[in-house]
Amino acid sequence: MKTIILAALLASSAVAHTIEGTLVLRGELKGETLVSGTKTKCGVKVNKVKNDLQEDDYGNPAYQVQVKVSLDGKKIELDKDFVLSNLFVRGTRKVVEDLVYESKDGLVMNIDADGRIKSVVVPYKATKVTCAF
Amino acid sequence: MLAKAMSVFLLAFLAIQASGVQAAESIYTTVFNVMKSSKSDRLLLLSGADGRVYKMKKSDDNFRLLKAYTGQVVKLTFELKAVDGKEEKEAMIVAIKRASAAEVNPRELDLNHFQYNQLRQFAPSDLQSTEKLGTLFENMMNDGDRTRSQCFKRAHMWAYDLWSQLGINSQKVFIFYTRRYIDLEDFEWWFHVAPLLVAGGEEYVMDGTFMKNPVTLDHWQKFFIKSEKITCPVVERYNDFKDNQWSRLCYLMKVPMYYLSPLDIENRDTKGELKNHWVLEELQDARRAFKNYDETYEALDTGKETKTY
Repeated sequence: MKTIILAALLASSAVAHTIEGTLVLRGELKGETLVSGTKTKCGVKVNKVKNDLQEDDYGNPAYQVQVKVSLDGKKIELDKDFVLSNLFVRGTRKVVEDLVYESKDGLVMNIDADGRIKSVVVPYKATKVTCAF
Repeated sequence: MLAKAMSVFLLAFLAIQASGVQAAESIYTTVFNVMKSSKSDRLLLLSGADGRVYKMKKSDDNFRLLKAYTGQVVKLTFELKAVDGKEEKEAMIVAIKRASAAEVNPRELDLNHFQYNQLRQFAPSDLQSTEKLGTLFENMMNDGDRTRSQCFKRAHMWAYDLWSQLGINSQKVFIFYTRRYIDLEDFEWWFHVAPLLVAGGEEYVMDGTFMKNPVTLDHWQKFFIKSEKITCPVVERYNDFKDNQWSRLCYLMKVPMYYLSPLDIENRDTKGELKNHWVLEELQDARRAFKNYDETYEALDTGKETKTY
């Protein structure tokens, strides 16, 4: 009996998924990255952070973040708005992640536990450009 | 002989019916408040056992008599009489006397709901069916002017009316909005509250200000969070809300009808201040939620200046 209860507890704790609800900090970041060996300016501006008014299978609410990403170098030029969400489909489950955001057109943004942007991976033509901050 | 007795009884019964007076009833209660009505020629006695107002013709002698029973447990005999041909009836005191210790056992009889009672266990009434819900909702005090007051005061009076007029123990349901919701949605409220009733195994919110009829808890929550896709978890402790302001948008809390405001719930959970009783000062303030409050709820007056809770 004890084994069954223990197994049930383990199973339920394995299923539970809670979040901190980390808020992406608003503001603008500028840095540099290399694109095919060429220095390229990279900027991210967080325009808006809002509740997505959707939640995952565990009741965790998602955020929607609107950013403007710019790349400026000899071989590349980009100035584009992206809409990101931290609601993902993982297998058969919908899951909200605290520290990862993705847009439908492939931009990936990672933040830290304080809400600061650590990096963005920008889709550009057939490649992906990574900007770390 | 029996037929004659029956006919005398029948005549007497019909005479009572015709006069609009019903047979006298008795209750044991604690006299909680006695005052002279300024709206009528009545003395008003607020009963601790059921929250009802029992009345007597105004006179100095009657006032002295009733006043002497303040705080005492009494046997009160009353008749329901029609008021000036209105449908509403007054409970007129026919007799009052101090109850003896043999008559009332405080461990068995709960005679003062205006005082905390360690033995009182709150249990929400189960209305069994949803049939009466609509009528209850329609009869809730509502002057359509929500700018007069805050939701928690209206909810408190609705809960009090349900209890004192119909003996219904309701709960209150609070929806608490988190800082995440308030900040990001630019929302002005941090909570809303309404009475909650159980009927036919389902919970219904009686929100007389924002709803046109009783609605399920799920319906009510979705209305106030403006989304079909968001759920507000039901939490037990105030800190479940207070300490988790970013991981959810909202929380629901169900509490006994006596809890007036979020501060009451916070005090319960942080200081152990339990409430299983009404507080007259709070009712005196909350009644101002409605127009003509001083007439409708005249007996809920402490005689002191109203404090705002």
